[in-house]
Amino acid sequence: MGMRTGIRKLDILLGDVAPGSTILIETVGTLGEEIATSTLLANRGNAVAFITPKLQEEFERKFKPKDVKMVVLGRDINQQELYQISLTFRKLLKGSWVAFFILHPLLVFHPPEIIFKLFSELVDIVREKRAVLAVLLDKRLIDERTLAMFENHATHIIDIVEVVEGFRVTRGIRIKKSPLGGTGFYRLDISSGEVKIGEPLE
Amino acid sequence: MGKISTGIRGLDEMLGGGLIPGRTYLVKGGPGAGKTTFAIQFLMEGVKKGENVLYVTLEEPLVTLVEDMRKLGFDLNHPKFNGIDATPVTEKTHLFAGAFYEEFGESFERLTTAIREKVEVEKYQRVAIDPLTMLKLTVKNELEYRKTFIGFLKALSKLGATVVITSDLRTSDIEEYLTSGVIELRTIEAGGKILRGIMVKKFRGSPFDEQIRPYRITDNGIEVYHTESLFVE
Repeated sequence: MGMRTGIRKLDILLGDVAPGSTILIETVGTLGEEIATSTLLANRGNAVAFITPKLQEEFERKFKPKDVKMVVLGRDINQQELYQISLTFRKLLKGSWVAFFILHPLLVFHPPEIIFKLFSELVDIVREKRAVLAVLLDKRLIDERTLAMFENHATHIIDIVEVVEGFRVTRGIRIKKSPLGGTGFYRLDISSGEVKIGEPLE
Repeated sequence: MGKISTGIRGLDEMLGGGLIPGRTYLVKGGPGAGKTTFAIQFLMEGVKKGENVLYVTLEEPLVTLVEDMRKLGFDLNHPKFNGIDATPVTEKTHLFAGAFYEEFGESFERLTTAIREKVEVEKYQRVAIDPLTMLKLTVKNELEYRKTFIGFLKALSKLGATVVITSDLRTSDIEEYLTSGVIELRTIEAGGKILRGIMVKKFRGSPFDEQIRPYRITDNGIEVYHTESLFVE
């Protein structure tokens, strides 16, 4: 059995996430962090997260230290020294493990093309080690060309959108890429850290 | 062909096992790049294997080096480690008597001859000259320098010693051409931080990793991360 996110409907939509897969979560801002939380919880004991100090605080409230190994960007690893990330990744990751990676802070320090090179290296490591990688990427920080490069390397893509009409905010989620193919958009509700995927959106 | 370890595991991987013995290699790098640490690490690897080694310092006084290198875990007082202080401020030694810093302009040949003779007598298996730049700066006649330098390399090669010479980045064109291998230590600024990269530019007689790889100067000396990329533009 492949990896599970712990969100039943999302697992059905995603299909099998085989060892060696990379899931790219294209999002807006911090939307999608809850999916990461759920995924790490569902794989606790076999999980490592490369995160920001702020996310670490949140994770520490939710996980026991032995559940998820946390590597904090800007504290445990210098964000300018990207090779430290691939080096740590290579050393830590084991087969059947799930790694979560937040790319936003790195895009502040480096051009998107450089971060793409790092991403492709991480994808190779994950494939080699037969682990699974989930990466959160704020799509507003990169252009379409670079996004396409990221998408080509991912085996699965979860696309999260937020549409504002007047004072009404609608959030949607779809599977943009998976071995099963893509899906249309579904309503996405997040309340008290819980992710609910509702009816299809027109 | 058997190879010898540089003392830096990641670099040995980049070199396909290490350096080819009995040849001369140039280590290039700017100030603070780790050239001296490299030279010492290379020599101390020989000491670990029971080899006699010779270190000739032309820039940093040996006393200071002994102190600095102790912090990295290298004991320069080891009986197999022979250090010669040829810095301008030091007392004359038997090796450099008559071939002192102020007189290098006239006596570069005498200096190289002295080193050669010492290697011949003492059977040093590893030699480091750090940095060669200091010598070259004082030589007026480029052709003479070249002739002497080639003779020096040939003589050391015949004696079977593996030699590492260090040099500043800007002044090593001839040495690059004449030595068997060139290893460059680079520093690159990225986002307000210095990144260090090591590159094998030339390695006669062996395939090698042509990518620039990250390295760090740690409490244990230089560490090269041969599986990683530097991720710079």
